[in-house]
This record gives sequence, structure tokens and C-alpha cells, in this order.
Amino acid sequence: MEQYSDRLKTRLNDDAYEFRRESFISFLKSPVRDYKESPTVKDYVEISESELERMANGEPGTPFSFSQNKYTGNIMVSGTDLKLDKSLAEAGVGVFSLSGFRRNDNPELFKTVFSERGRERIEFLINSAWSQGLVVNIPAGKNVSLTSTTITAADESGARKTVVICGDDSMVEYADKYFTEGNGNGVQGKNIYFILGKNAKVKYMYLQDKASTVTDITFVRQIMEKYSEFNFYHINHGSNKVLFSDESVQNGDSSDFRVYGVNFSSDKQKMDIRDSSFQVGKKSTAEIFVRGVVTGSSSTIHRGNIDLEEVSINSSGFYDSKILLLSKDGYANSKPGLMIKNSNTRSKHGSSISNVDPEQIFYLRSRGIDIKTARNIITGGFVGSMIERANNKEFTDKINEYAESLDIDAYF
Amino acid sequence: MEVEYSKEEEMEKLLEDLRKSSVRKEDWEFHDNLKPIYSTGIGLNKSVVEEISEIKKEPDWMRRFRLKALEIFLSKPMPTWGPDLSGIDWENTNYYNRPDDVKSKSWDEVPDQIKDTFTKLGIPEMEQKYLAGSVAQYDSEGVYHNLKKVWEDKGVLFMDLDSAVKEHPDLVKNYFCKAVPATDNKFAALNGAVWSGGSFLYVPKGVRIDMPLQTYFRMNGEATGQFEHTIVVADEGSKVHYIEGCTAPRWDKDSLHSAIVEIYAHKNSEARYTSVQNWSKSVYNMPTKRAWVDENAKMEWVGGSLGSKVTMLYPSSYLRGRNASTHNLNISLAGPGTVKDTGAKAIHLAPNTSSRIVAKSISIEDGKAIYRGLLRMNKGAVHSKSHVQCDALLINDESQSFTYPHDEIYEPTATFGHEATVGKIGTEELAYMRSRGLSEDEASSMIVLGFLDDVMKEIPMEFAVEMNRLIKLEMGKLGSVG
Repeated sequence: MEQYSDRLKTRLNDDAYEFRRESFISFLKSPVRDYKESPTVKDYVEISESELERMANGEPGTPFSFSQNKYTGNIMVSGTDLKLDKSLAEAGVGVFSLSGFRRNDNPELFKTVFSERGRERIEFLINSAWSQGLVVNIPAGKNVSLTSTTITAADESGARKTVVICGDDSMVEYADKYFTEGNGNGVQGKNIYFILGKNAKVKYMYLQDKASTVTDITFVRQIMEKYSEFNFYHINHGSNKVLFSDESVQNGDSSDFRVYGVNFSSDKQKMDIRDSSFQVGKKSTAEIFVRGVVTGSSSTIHRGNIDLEEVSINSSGFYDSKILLLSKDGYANSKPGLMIKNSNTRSKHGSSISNVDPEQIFYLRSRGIDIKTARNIITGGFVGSMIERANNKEFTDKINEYAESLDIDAYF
Repeated sequence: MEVEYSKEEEMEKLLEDLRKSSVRKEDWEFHDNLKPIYSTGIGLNKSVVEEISEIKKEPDWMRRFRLKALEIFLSKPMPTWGPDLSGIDWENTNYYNRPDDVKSKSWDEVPDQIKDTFTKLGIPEMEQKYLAGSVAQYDSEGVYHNLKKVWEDKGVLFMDLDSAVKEHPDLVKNYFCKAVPATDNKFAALNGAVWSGGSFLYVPKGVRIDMPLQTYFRMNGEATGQFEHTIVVADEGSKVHYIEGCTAPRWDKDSLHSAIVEIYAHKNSEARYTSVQNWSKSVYNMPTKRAWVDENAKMEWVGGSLGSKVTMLYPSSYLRGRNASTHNLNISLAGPGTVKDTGAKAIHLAPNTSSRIVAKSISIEDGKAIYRGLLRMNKGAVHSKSHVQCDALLINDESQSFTYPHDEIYEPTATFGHEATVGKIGTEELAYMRSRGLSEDEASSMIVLGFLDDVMKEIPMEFAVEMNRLIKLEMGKLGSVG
């Protein structure tokens, strides 16, 4: 990381320098997590120090081009380009590049954008090293629908930071998609922060389908005020190594956090999917449902904590993980945790790992459906039930496409 | 003649029974002013280990094993992933205390003072009533062991491990530290270096013992360590139920209990291990308990973890043969100021194996109950099944509960489920029971004992009664139960 410290010094004129420096200090102070309690250390998705260095220092990708019809969205990010649909400005939504954002542009907003430094080691590093990013500012009381598509070169390494500010009483529907073009083994990190005002209601849909050689590191955090609601639908399909971490910070009373996540790991992919709640506000609720499908010689780990602090009285938390292990060389692991620090709460977690139920297969086969299709139908239903709730056609189609293309080799 | 039923008389009788059975903390927190006849003094080094081996007149292989284990112990760092263990004072702990020179098969030969202690704890009485045999250990050495003749005739061996090393060295060598090698963890290495006492139980092929066998451990000294090593071998087709009970007086300086329990359930055998631990609140309780379960064998762990300052205990079963199964039932009670980091491990290594883990915990006042477990299904453990359930009850506002399960599945045909709940006594449940005429105390008491019922009914009756009393006693301070 010595190289990175030097790089940080070159950013002295950056308005966010203080924020970057503090984040880097937090990164240095955070211990490297080890999982000695588990005998299978090698199976966790480990991001090596050299990979982190590549991400922090950044490596430019090969220039690429793509057909305009392939990707859709009213916010298009490709490489360093940012294209915005006119409708956004008309709707009063402010969207601009984070790297061009100066304190004097809007001191109040600047302070809000850089108010959260995160809690995880790599998250600190991304907060210190980001070179590109986006600020989406949705004023109070607005009702908007956004679709953002981010395309990067597969051999590009770097860190991004996106901050979405949802004003009081706003209603936001946000579909956020990440793809790559070309080949390469870039290390791509990103922090996505949502700052929700009082009574803000957000439906956030996330899709990651990058090339199978990329390392993708993502931290999503929701800072939630009183009565705010956050519904999160996430799909992880691409990349070679995926470290996806999502954690709410429910400071406000009666905040409501719901997560419906799906991941598909195939070939040699390794996926570490973490969904947690950190509940401080009274009467706050968190419900997390995650589904995973493992094929090939891939591995999926689901981790999630329900963390109810001393003051979060009358709160509740629920975490539920289910993984379909559909291959004899695959590996599935779940590590749900409950951290309950006050007794006036209700919390639960459940997790299960198994193959497709043979009785369900038998039923479908008795209706004349061949075994491969039967398995795909059941798997499709297993993951589809999560994402269909979002009521977004593109996401539902994607899930069906992924489920149908699964190569299931498990024996019964 | 018709007996007239009188409700008042019945109540009076019940109350009288309750008065008689009331347990007081002093009943087991007393300590004797017995000076050990031999002690290695405080601190641990090579010469202390050699001294222990010397006074036990052990064979050379054991002496070398102890020294190797000491090296491992010194080289391993303290585990930092669990509760705070900084209170363990390695320098000022006494690693070996011998209470007396006698190892007896008759109570009459046991020194009076020690006999009194065990009589107060009710050991001889229990033995007469319902045990097939028992061993009593006081500080570092076993002071009494006895086995009913009928079992002795069938070839059952039950004695303290020191005697077994001398009398059956080959048999002991076959099993000693095979399931729990000294390299396993820091505390297992410590036990390897300074172990003393513990039981050796061998049940030959086809022998099915229908009465339980018991060892009672008593730690008397201040700032001492008890490092017993227990080996239970259930040979092919045999059946055995082994029980352990532990107590210690309360001292100002903390003591350390770091035991090893190894259980070998051979083909078609059934082994059950029950332990009720009620160490006083100055004891760090760090045992390592593990079972090797072979084809068609059945292993059951039943545990009650009530006392101690900090407990870290994860009884594990290695399911090594086809159709092997394990049940693990555990109750832990985290009283005020204590930490219970308990759980279970089941490692599925063969086809059609099954495991079931039920863990219940109660946190009182600022007590902290933690469930930490590992469930692993290796590739090839086809059609294996497992279910893990951990429930926690928080009694006071400041009570805390944490759950950290680790579930690792490498086998696609395996089925695995895990669930956990944390909550407090529901107001709706209370309101319902009160509407049926129960007082609030009676209602909470009923809910707490009902919460523990799954595990309680698996515990032998005498122990269940003792545990019920102990739980009531711990909770009685809050006026909520009992």
C-alpha cells in the first residue's frame, strides 16, 4: 500500500482530500479479517492485498465500443463518460459526476455526500481511492424512476463511489445495472450509499453481470431516517470473484428494510454475499431473504447479521438464506448471525442448503417434462419468486434467462 | 378404607418437600481447608511437566508426549475470536495438586474430609440408587472409583485414567489423544502437558450397560487448574451412558478447567454423554470434547452448562461411518456477569449420516449467551441430513445473545437446515396464562421451563431435578421463577 499512500498525497488539491485521508487511516487501522474459526479458510472469497492495490491505484481499461441498443437507461456510464437523459433534469433530479463535484458547488450537499465512511476494511479503501462516481440528488417529495447502466472494460481496475440522496417523503424506483465489455481480469470496487430522509421510500434493483474474469467488490449501505422504507432486490450473476456486502444503518425509528437477493455461481466463480442489518432506531424492522444457486465447481457463501443495538427497543430482525447446491463439485456455506443486545426485540434466522426436491422433479416428469427442464423450472421458481416482487420486467426476464441457462449436473 | 383427599394437606406436603429440597449456593460453594499432600506450586515449565510425570511414575511415551504437548501449548497463541480470556493468569495457576495418596475402591478408605465433601454433594447416595459405577476426582487426582461387579465380570473397565495408563497401557495408547490431538487447540495442548485424572471407560463388544456410569469432579483449591482427560470407548454393538458432574467453590482468584473428553463409538454402538457443569463463578471452563462415530453408531451429547465465569465448549461429533448419527442437546444459562460461548460441531464424513443439534440458552441480567457452531458435510457424505436449532431467551433488558453458526456444505445430495430465534418472554403468552389464573411468577416459570423442555426430558431424572433447581435458584433472584 506504500504506492497508494504516495498516490493519495497527489490528491491534496482534491476537495474530498480530508475524507479520503480519514478513510485511508481507517483502512490501515482495520485488522485483516481472518476466519480461523473455520477449517476451510481457503473457501472464503479472499481478496489479496495485491488485488486491493490494483484497485486502489487504478489501471485504465482497453477502449471499447458497444451497440447503443444493447444497453438501456436514463443514466449511462461507460468508462469515464456520463450520459444523462433530459427527463431527469425535467423531473428535478440532480445527477452529476462525483469527481467533478466541488465543495463550493453546494457545501450542504457536499457535506451530506461525504458524511459516511462505512464500517468495513475494503469499504474504507474504496472511500479513499475512488476515482469515478456519481451523485444522484432527489429532492424532497419527488416521485421518480431511474435506470442506470454502468459499462466498464473488463481489464479496467479501479474504485467507484455512488451516493444517492433521497429527500424527505420522496418515492424512488432505481434500477442499477453493471456490465463489462472485452476481456481482462480487472479488480473493480464500488461503494453505493443511499441516504434516506424521513419517510422516503426506495425500491432499488441491482444487477451485476460482468465478464467471468473480473473481480467485483461491492458495498451497499443504506442510512435510514425515521419512517423510511428500503426495498432491495439484488442479482449477482457475473464476475470471477464477487464480494457483495449490503448493510443497513437504521438510525431512524420505525425504519423498514427489506432485502430479496439472488446469486448464481457457476464454473469456478466464488461468491460471498453478505446482507446485514444494523438497527439503532426503535421499532425498526429488517427482513432479509437471500437465495443462491450453485453449479459447476463454484462456491457461494451467504453471510448476514441481524444486529439489534441496546436502544433499538421493540425492533425485529429476520434473516433467511437458502442455497440450492446443484453440482457435485460445488460448495455452499451459510453463516447467519444474530447479535441481540436488548431483550425487547424479536429476531430469527434460518438457513438451508440442499438439492432440488426429488418429489417435485418426479411430479414434473410425470407431466411429461424432461429432467433437465424440470430442474430448471424448479430452480427458476426458487429464485424468481424473489425478484418478481420487484415487478420490473427487465429484471424478471434476466432471472428467467439465467435460470434457463443453468448447467445442472447434480445426481440424485 | 377410603382415603379422604384434602387439598390443604396436599399443599402442605408439597411445601414441606420444597422446603427440604431448597438448594442454596453455599451447598456447593463451600471449600475445605484441606492442604494437598503434594503440589508442583504455581507456574508452568518443562520441569513442572517432568515432575508430574515423575510422581505419577508414568511410562516414557507419556512423558515424551507431555513435553511435546507443552511445546505446542507455548507456541500457540491465545484464541481471540471468542470471549475475553485475559483473566487467565498462567503464571499464578497451580497446575497439579494431589489431595491424598489414597486411590480407593471403598468409601471407607477415602480420607474423611474428602468423603464429607462428596457426601455433601450426594455422590455415594446417587451411586447406591442408580449408578452402575462411579469415579470421584478431587483437584488433580481421582480419589475413588467403583464399578458394580456384574459389569466388571463382563469385562467393562471403569477407573481413573492414571490407573488405566498403568493397568492397561496398550488399550489406553490406542485411544489416547487420537480424537483430540494436542495440536488441536491451545487448551488441548495444555491438557496434554499437565493432564491428571479423568476417567477411562471401556465397554467390550456387545455389552449393553443399562445403568449410567458417573464421574464427579470437584475443584477445591484457589487459583488451581483441573486438567482431567476422559476416554470413553464403546466397542462394537455396545451401549453406554456416561455422566459427568462438576463443581468448585468460589474463590477470589480465578481457576481454570481445561479438560479433554474423547469418545469412541465403534460400529453399531450407542454412546450417550451427559454433563452438568456447575462450576462457581471464578472458573474459566475450556474443555475440548469430541466423539468419533463409526458405522451405524449413535452418539448423543446432553449438556447443561450452568456455572463458570467464562465457558467455551463445542462438543463435536465426527461421523466417520455410513449411517452414523449424532444428537446434541445443550442448555446454557448465562447468569449475571458470565459469558457462555457454547455450541456444537458435527462433521459428516460418510454417506447417510445424520445430525441434530438443539441448543437453548437463557441470559439473565448482563449475562451473555453465545451460540457458535460448525456443521460440515464433506463431499461423499451423500444423502446426509442435518438440522440445527438454537433458541435464546433474554430475561432482562441488558441481557445479550449472539448466534454465530458456520454451515459448510460440499455435498449436493445432502440436506441441511438451520434456524435460530432470540426473544423474551412474550407478553401475550403471559397474559394468556394469567387469564387462566396463574400469577406472573408462576407463568414466567412455566414458560422458561417449557422453553427448556426439549432438552430437559433427555436428561436423567435426578440431573433434571438438580438442573431445574439450579435454574430456579439463578432466576429466583429476579423473583421471576420458582
